[in-house]
Amino acid sequence: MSRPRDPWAFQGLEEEARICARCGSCRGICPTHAQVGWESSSPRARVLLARELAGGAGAGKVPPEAVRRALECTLCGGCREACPAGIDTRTFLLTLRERLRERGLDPEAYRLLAANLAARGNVSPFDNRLRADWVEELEDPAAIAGAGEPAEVGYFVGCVSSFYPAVSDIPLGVAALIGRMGKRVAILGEEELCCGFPLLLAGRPDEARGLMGRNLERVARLGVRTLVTGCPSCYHTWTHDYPAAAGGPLPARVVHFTEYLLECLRAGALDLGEAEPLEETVTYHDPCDLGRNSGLYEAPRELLRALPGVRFVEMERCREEALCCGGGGNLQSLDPELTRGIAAERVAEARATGATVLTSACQQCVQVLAEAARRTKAPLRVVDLAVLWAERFE
Amino acid sequence: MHAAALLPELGPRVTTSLLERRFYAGDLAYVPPAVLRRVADPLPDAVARPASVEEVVAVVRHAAAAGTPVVPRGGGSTAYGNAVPVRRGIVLDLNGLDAVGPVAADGATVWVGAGATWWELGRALGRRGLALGSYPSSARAATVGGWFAMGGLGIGSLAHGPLVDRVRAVEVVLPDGEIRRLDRETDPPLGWFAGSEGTLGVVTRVELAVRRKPAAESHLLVGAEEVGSLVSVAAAVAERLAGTVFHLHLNDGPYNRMLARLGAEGGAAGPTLAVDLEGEAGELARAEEVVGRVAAAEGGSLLAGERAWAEWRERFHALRVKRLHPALLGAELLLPLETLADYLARCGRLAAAHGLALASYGHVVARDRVLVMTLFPTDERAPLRYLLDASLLEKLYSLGLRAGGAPYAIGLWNTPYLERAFAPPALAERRARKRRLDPRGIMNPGKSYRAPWLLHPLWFGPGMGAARALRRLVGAREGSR
Repeated sequence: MSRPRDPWAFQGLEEEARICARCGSCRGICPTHAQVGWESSSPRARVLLARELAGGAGAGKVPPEAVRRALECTLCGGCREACPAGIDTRTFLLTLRERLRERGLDPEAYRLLAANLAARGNVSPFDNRLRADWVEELEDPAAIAGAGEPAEVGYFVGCVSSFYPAVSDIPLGVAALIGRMGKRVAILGEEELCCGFPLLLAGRPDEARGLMGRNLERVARLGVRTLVTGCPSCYHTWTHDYPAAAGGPLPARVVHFTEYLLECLRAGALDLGEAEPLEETVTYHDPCDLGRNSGLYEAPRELLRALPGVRFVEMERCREEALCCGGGGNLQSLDPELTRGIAAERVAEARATGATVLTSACQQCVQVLAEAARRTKAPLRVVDLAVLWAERFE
Repeated sequence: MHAAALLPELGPRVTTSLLERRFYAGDLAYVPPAVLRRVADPLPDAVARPASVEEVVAVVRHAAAAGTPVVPRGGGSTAYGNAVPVRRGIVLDLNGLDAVGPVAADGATVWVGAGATWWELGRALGRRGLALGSYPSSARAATVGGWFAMGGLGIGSLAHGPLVDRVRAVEVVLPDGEIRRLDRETDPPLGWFAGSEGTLGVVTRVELAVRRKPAAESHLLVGAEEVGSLVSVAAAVAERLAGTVFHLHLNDGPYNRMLARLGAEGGAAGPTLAVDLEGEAGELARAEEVVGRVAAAEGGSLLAGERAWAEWRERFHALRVKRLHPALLGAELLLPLETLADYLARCGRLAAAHGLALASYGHVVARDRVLVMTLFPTDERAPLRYLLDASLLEKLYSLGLRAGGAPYAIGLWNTPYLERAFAPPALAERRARKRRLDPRGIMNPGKSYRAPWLLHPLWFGPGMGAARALRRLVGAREGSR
């Protein structure tokens, strides 16, 4: 097989597994390895396991423990950052999950997730027709454009903040801020489907592309130039996976809400003089799918520094070195206790800064970290950046 | 047996799971199973992950009572079999002993758990305005205890000496289970454990000298046509800029050409010397001028500044060349700086004679010594070819020994060179320490002191020579098809 010209391009599961130097540079940054401790839970071991799991022996010969270890990963991208051989571990591990699915080795939790998505079009246990119920809580519902009405921007809400009460304030905050700027926002409402990322995580790219295709058609009908999302996983999927599904340009420019808010702020769309100062010490958690996996570190930080009264402090591990919250990679469905352990460590790190507010720009991170703060009785308010901003103008 | 005995103390931190044990039966190096089986029995009976020195004691005492080997393991980031069992036993995964602190009130030293990585330690110190004196290029993976056990030469050693010079004391669990705090005055002294490769006891904590973070840093890259010119530059810079030069790192032409294929900016075809400086801004400016003049005097030139900084940023990524060559074999040697050019020239001739793509890089670790890694690609999917290629390692080590050098580490795979690497009195002293501290031979046995029969120097050298001849024959036949 001839090598691709770009030596850094992903060369397939088997070839990348051979490239692995077994050096162990990936171990220190891995959030699951930090919790579990055994070598088998390290990224290095997952690469070694991949060689066995990806081909050859039938499903009956593979110990379930090996599959579990291979899937005990949030896809935070930390190991990719640390790997001296430049292995794109995210692509590697997603490819491995596909192979496991093909071999019938995917866990029951993933099959249930896929069945739920097929039935409902979202990751929650609720009917998709309830997806836009949060609109009823808006103080100014007029900010939401009705069907067929013109709007400056579209908003892809994401499943977690649409259905889970703990973070239902996020779409309210986003819509309120957009409305305050005198703009109208179009949403898909119950037409919005899961972005497809959980299916990619479950090794089911074909099913994911089915959802993507339908979302693409529906967003195109909105007729907006800009599509905003507050969910980094939706954002990453839209910007990295949807182009291939679209087979051409996307129907709109896709930006994360923090980028969009910063653009608007710079354009003078919001008067900070009207913002109530926060007067708190605030620290920021980099969501993996926004930070490491999408390269967006600055916009949230600029927004925090711009807020009157905020004393911003960084956590020990931030930006490229940020510790994952534990909520990604479908890990929560596979091992909720492991997710809780990782989240507790991240909350402890936030507490160590002396901050009283922990903010992030991800619905899943906020949900997972808020639950960890409650469980560990941390004197810390966990809140999404959009909500933090929106509150300043209430 | 072991798990049941250790359960009361370690609970879930001991395992006999086959899946788990398999991961502790190897390190960086790929060794064809057919060969490995004849030299070692690497699958441990159990793996223990102690969370405290008391738990280490529990494991060691149990092992001593049972006559079972104990194999300390940190990052598992070497290629010589140091952390791989030779006679089964219990692997001690020390990564849980990773606490950093306390820092002494004067900020001059810090106690650190042996399982902390150098990367994490460096970051923890950085947050306090402190810095390491030296660290390995494998800092993300290598543990404090592991690098101490391996000799501790690497980045910063030129400025601050070998790691042992910066260690004030160590906490060790001896093979009889006794906990000792050792320094330079104790019996045994801490120096016995530096470079002992985990064979004299289990280092659990290290008291390490640290320093204030330097005010500023500067990075330069010198290019030249010949390695000899760069060696002269290195020697001159090391002498004239002592106190300002932190590190010197040399790449030969073939290694730089590999980097160029990976897209390294402004990829030089020839050898380069990276000069890494620390100090006050004014001091650095003067030092940069000195480097420029010295380089010019030797027929070299300063390359673009961004490339120098890129080389510095990539100092932990020497293995990025694996993207070009998924399987690599390498020899790591400590050489006199004055013989480096000659060694590399001989490597060039070896490469031509055997159709090899040899590439080398080195860290200048003292004014007169350089730690060199010489690599070449192979293919582990073809076991016969892989083994025939591996015979060339013996030739590389022989070239290094002839150049007045020695293997950097012994472990299992470099035991054939023991009697050439150590003068008889030094080897006798090394063995005497082992007999004294570990009379029952439970601490990481089967390596570091004597070669196993298959690797005995009497037939190892001739055997490797025959393999090289066969390799040329096979290669000639393949070339003639």
